[in-house]
Amino acid sequence: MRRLLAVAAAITIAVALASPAEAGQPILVHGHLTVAGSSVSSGRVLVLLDGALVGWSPIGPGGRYAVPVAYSDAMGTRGQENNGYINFTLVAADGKEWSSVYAFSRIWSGGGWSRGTTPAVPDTLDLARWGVRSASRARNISAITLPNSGDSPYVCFNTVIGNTDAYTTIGETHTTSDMTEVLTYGKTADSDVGTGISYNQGNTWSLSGTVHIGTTKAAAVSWTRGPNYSHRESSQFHYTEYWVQGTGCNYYTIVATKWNGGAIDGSDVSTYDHHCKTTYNQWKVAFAPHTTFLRSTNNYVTFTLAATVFGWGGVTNQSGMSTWVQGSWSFSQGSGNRYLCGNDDFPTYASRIFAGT
Amino acid sequence: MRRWIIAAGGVALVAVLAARVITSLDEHPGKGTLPFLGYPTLTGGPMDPGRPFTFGLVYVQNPKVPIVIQAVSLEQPTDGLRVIGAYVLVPAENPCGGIGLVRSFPPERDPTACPAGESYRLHPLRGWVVRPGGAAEILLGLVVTRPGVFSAKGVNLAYSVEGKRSTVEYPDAVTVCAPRTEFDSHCALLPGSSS
Repeated sequence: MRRLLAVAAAITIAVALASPAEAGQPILVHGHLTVAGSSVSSGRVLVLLDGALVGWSPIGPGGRYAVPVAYSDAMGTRGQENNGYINFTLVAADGKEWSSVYAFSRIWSGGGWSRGTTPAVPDTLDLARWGVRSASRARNISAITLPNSGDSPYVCFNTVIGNTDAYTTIGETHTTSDMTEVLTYGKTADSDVGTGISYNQGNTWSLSGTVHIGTTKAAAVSWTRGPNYSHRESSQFHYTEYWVQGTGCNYYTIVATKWNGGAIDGSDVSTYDHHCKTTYNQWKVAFAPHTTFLRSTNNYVTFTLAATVFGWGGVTNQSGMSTWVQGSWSFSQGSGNRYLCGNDDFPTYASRIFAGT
Repeated sequence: MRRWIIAAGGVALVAVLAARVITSLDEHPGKGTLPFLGYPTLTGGPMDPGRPFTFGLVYVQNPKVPIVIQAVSLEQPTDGLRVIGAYVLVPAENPCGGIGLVRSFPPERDPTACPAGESYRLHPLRGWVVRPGGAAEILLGLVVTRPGVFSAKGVNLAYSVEGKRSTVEYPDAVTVCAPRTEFDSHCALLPGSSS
């Protein structure tokens, strides 16, 4: 009997040491909730996939939550259509007066969830910053009947308000004299496009998370731009505005749903150039005549004001997050060197690369 | 039944302990010392055979623990492309900036980059210590020995941490065409580029 107890204890220890993924369903998203900096002490967090409830978590001590979600075939289908990424919606409420909706993406790999290279859900999600104050809304979310394990009932329903296409900043070119840059996007580059949320029927909008838009099934687009040409570069995305309704939902949202392609020039950003010997001197590098430099990046800068959609100009975009955006420069001067510089690091690490001294 | 339970418990414990051991092995001093080596780059251009040039763009920065640089080499260089020397350039003490690709080795003073007349301040590579928070650019002196198109897939950096030697490969490729008179404006050096 004593030996049996020892074995049971050993198994208990083994289970306790095992990862959450081994102990049950893998955790999709976790963090903690606050309201104006104070930890939330009650309520719940729901995770939706196109309105279907696929996971939930109570709010624990310190406002902590961790939502386990089982991988399903339906999720697999969505992932296949989007370069592996699945776009989810987190709905959080304190059960009293605050609630929030936040969009995020996950990829299934190795028997668990990861965010891949998509933007992180803030570890501390402050409902007063990201959400709305409404007692009835918060109570409704907390009153949703939770399903049995394995069920994914629809708790929210999307009504399409409108569809539109909009050119959205995906990158930028920077050249000064004797330089040519080729910027390539698509095929090898995805985007994480900011999601708009409105809790007052579209009167005001705020940014709340991102959706991942895969581009691997489309051809690449590129911009070849000669000397002294520094502009934001834009490609076209499709956006849909939804009215999301249901027991725990009543909001409008604008989401990017597809990349259409196309390549146009955006606003002038040449004010960032000719500072490689001053502002960015520590990050500058020299290139001799007729040399070239190509860099791929999967962590491009996030562009604010990347598009205006349905009258909302707050769309953000970060390109190349899952794979790569490429920029290549050719230097055609007759003699002497030309310079590139990173904005925040050496050019091989920097989030942006500017040109010229 | 009892033996089966004992066996199952034993297997579970071994599995868990093995996982813990593997985790601890992953945390040895050399592992992850330089967790991010920069984004992949490809640099190149026309050069003349026998004339040394400098290839920079390889940065050792902010290691988790002090590291001692031991050596650099090219990853899978084409026959005829050789390393003839290497220096360390410390960005913090160097107002001239860094080097992408220039046609001299050691790099000549650059009046545009160094208007006050300074030269690049270079340090011997072997034995150079980079501490947490510090940075060093590795300048490789390269030469091609004959006409042709040459390339290397990256740069290997050998370093040591507390006497233990490690090597990392930087994803910084180089392509060179020679001679300049033949390739000066059409050195097709960017495989993978869409240009």
